[in-house]
Parts: sequence; structure tokens; C-alpha cells
Amino acid sequence: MTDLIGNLLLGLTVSLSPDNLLLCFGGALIGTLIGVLPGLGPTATVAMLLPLTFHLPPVGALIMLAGIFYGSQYGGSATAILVNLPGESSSVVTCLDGHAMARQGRAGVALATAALASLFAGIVTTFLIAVAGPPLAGVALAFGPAEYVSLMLLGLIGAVTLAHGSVVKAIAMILLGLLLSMVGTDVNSGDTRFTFGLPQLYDGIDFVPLAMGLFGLAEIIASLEQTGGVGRTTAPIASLWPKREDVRQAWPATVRGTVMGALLGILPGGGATLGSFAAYSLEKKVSRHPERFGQGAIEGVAAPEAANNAASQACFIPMLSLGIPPNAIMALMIGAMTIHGITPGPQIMVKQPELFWGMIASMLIGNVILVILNLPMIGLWVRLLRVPYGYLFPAILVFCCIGTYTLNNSAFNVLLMALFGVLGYVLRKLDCEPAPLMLGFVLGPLLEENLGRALLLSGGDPTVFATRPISGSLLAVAALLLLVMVMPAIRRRRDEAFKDE
Amino acid sequence: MPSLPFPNLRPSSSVATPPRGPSATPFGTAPAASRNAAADERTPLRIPGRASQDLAAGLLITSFGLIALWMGRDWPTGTLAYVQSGFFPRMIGALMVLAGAVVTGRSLLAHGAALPSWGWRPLFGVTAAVLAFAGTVETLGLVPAVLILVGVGNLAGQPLRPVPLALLGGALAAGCVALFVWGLGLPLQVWPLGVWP
Repeated sequence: MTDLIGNLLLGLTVSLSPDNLLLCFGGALIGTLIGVLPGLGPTATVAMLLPLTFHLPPVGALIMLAGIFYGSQYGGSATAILVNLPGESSSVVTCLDGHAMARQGRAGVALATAALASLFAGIVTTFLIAVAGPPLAGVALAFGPAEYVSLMLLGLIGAVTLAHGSVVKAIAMILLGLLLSMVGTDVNSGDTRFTFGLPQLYDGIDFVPLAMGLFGLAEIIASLEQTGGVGRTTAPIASLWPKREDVRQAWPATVRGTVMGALLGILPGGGATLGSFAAYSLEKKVSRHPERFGQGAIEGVAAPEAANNAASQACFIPMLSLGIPPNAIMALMIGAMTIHGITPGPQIMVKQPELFWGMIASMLIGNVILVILNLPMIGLWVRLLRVPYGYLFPAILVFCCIGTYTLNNSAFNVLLMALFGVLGYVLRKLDCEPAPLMLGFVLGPLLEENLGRALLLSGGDPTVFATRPISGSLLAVAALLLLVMVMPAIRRRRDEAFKDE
Repeated sequence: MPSLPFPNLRPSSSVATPPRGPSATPFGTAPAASRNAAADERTPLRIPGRASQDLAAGLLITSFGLIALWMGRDWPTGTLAYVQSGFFPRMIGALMVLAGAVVTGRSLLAHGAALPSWGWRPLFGVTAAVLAFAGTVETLGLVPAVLILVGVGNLAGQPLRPVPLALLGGALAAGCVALFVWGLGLPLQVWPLGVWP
């Protein structure tokens, strides 16, 4: 315990030095301002701003990067809430209820909830890493390929709850997402699949054009259609700050989201991505009024935002101890470390304690600075919604196009975005929802890889998924969840049938 | 299908369908309201069966599955112990066909929502604007591409008058150059190739 306090103090002295504090603040500010632009998600923002940190000393560079990372993540959540554009997989979930809240004039409440829930999750998870980091890294090792397959199946089945319509259609959307994730070169064999002979598709489909098309463009088209070209007006802004009632509803969700995110974040690979989806599914399951979800339930913002922040912090554990980056942003962070001559790995804690603990403490500081910085800015973001839609939607289109184009300087990505915009609009008209599709798309490659690996290790014995204890119990939970979801639908339909007769 | 036990059986999905939450409620402008009323009066698409929305969804899902199976027809499946590149696509494709068949079948047996009307103008306007940007950004450069995007996109909604439109386009183009090219130093072609270095 004294160790822990000493370590954290060491970290705090490093990160609270005026220079580093300024770097963290500057990073968070620039990160928020760039990240809030539609089309520029956290990954793109961190990649664009990475060169800013090259000439800094290593600790300062990492602290500034952490600031940029948190800033861009919060900026991304703000875009998701304000204009329904998810810049990364975790904001897909924030869109669902966050944007619904914004349309009811509660954008300020949603933004404040997102900031505060993230702060809470950040603080708790920082202490968790400090207390239990190294032993928890061992948990990740108990997860073999079979366990990952079962975990992802559980996550995918949980994703059905993201939709409010029919279970079968939601499953079909997950399958479509898996199918889209297979486009490109198969990592094992080098065979190209579903590329239609186009070399631009050999690297697969990027997340950004898919998300921008399915959510952003489809939303703009639908919004213009439903209002005869004027654009949706949001309800007048009721209040900027959460009321006592909001806090009462949001805090248990925040705590559950934090736990969920931290647990899943420890798993290298797919864990961090699942965090926000899993937290949302859990909230909808434990809620006494699941029908409120998707209509602006504050829990639907608090839980995934907390889970996302907890997971992105907890994933430092596998990253620093095993050197495995869980997502593109963390891979960029590792890249930044190697530029400064730091090799991530178990020895980093022992050899460079001021760096390790400085980084841990800077997460804490970064979270606090972010809230201080952003709470006053909420009024500004919300005012953005008062811009007439005729001016707003061309601007959103411009940012979506440039963001997608600059991903690889490829006009093909913009083309793909237009295509997915049409697909998203068609799916909307057929009452098929895109959120489950996104999770299928994100988890697809991991699922396929681990499925193949698990079968290889078991010598082609498919019972391995059921017989290994962790894997088996995860599968049992998944089966139970599916049953719970299908049963009420059947029962309700019978009831209705009888009522009608 | 007269012999069904529950003639009024409805899939749960269609109960809450077209106006979903506050989102789908048209905020009453006169043209929108009248257009929607017109759409409600005539049945948009006459397909046998009673849930044309689900029928279309089912057929779309099935066709995606069939396309996947057809495209992957020659890929090696391997064995369970050594799964190859054709295994996963075939599995997912087959499951999609199954899911599509369930949705299609249910739509034929049950009442449900009809296919909603389509907003052709915003669909074409927005798609054309984005495609125009994709086609021009590399040859004509960022500034013309943004102006074209704003100009074409403007036709998707209620068009702005020329002066506000020009101001919006100019401001967006200038802002994008300042932010992305000068601020972030991204390698973007600003002016038409050959005209400007």
C-alpha cells in the first residue's frame, strides 16, 4: 500500500510539473477541437496530431498524447451526441441515446453526463491499475482462443439488444457486419475475398467510411426527407446541466459501466471494443423500463461512456505488460513510445518508473483537465444545434468527406462512404438497425482468427468451446441471453394475437 | 393463407415500426405533412403478403447471403482442424440465408408494416454531392471540390438562395484550407492540378 502511494506520488510529481501540466492541457484542448469535427474520430485525430509531440522529451510527449487522446475521445462523443456521427466503434452506442437526448433539447445534459461519467471511470480505473495492474495481467493469459470466441459470441448476441425491433433482423445485421469485415485479404492464407477485383479493397473496408455512411449520410438523408428538406429542429434547450433526477438515474449506470469496461479492457484484443456495447446491453437488461432506451435514456449515455473510458485505461495493462495494443489508438501510442526509444513490455515498470507512473498519473490529470475544459464549452457545442439545418448539413457533409478522404488520401474511401450511405438509408427504410452491424464488423476479424486458432489447437474438435470452463460458461450465458430475448417476443406476439381475436 | 390459426399474427418488429420515437415524427412543415399524407393513402408497393417492409428486408438479407455464398463458391473450406479462407464466409453466408428466410417467411404469414415511401430527392442529392467530391478532390483540388459538394448538396434539401449559398461555400472552403492544409499540414491538393503548384 505504501508502495502504491509512493508510486502514485512519484507519478503525480512528474505530471504536475508546470511544463507537463501545460502539455496535457494543450493536448486536451487541441484534441477536443479537432476530435469534435464530424468525420475525424479519435484515431484520425491522434494520428494527425502525433507529429506535434515528436520534439518533446519522452515523458512530456506521452503526457501530451494522453491529453490529445482524451480530448479527441470526448470530442468524438460530442459529435456522436450532437449530430449522430460516431467516429469510432465505442461512440456508436453513445449515438443511440445521446442523439435522442439532443433532439429533445437535452444535449447539454448528455454532454455533461458523458464528461462526468468518463471522469468517474477514469479515476476508478487509474487506481485499479495502480493497485492490481500486474496481477491482473495474468487474467488475460487465462483467455485462450476458445474463450475469445465465446466472449465475442456473447458480445454479438448482446448486441441484439442494441436494436429495438425484431431479434432475427438484428442477428441478420450482425451477420452482414461480419460479412463486410471479411472484405480484403485473409490474414492466414493471403487469399483476397469479396474484393470484386478492386485493389483498393485488398486492405479491407475501413471503419470510418462505413460508420460515416451508415450513420452520418443516412441520418442526413432521412432527416431531409422527413421534414421536406428543412431539416429536423431540436426541441428548445431545456437545461444544460443534469438535474437531481438525472444524477440519480445515471450514477448506478456509471458504476456498472466502469466495472464492465475495466473487466473487458484487461483482455488484450477485442476486450476494449466490447466494453461500451456490453455496458449498454447490461443497462438495458437491468433497467425496469428497457423501452426508454433509444429514446433518450440517460443511462444509455452514462454507462457506455464510463465503460469506454474505463476500458481504454484498463487496456494499458495488457499493453504495457504484454505489449499487445488493443486498438488502433493504442497501437499509435506504442508507435509514439518506440519513436522516443521506449519499448513497451513488463520491464517498463521497473526500469522507468517515473515514465510508467507519470503516464498513469497523467491519465488522472488528463481526465480532470478534460472536465474543467469542457464543462464551460458545453454551452458552445449546444449552440451549434441552433444553426439552421440548411447551413449545417452541407458543413457536416464537407467534414465527413474530408475526414474520410484524408484517412489514406483515397477518393475511393469517399466513394465507399456514399455507397454505405445508400445502404444505410435502405436498411433504415426496412427497419433494420445499423448499430449491431457495426459491432459485427469490428469483431469479425478477431472472431474468425480465434475460431480458426481454437479449432486448430483442439485438432478440429468443436466441443472445445463447451468443455473449457470459462469458454463453456460464457457460451451458456450467451445461450441464456438469446433465450431471454426470444421468449418475450414470442409471448407478446401470442398475447397480441389473442387480443386481436 | 386462410387456414392460419392466428390471422392477425404480427411480428413484434412491426408493432412500433414507422414512426420510431420522436425521431421519425415529421416536424410539421406544410410540404412535408402533405407529402406524408399522400404516401399513407396509396399503398406504396403492392407485393403479395401482408408485411411488405419485412418481405423486402428478408429478400435483401437472403440475397446478401446468396451473393456471399456464390462469390465464395471456389474458396477452400479446409477441414475443422485446419480452417481455410472459405470456411467463415460460407458459414456466415449460410446463416444469412437462413435469417433472411425466417424474416421472409414470417412476413408472408403475418400482418406488418408496409414498405414506406422513399425520399428520392435527398437520397440522390446527398449521394451525388459526395460522389462529386470523390471525383473532383484529386484532380480539381480541395477548394473546387468543396464548392461543388456544397452546391450539389444544396439541391438535396430546401435550396438556399445564391448569396447565402456562396457565402457558405466560400467560408467552408476557406476554413478547410486553413484548418487541414495550413493548420494540420495534411498533404491535400488545394487547387486544380497543373494550374497551381
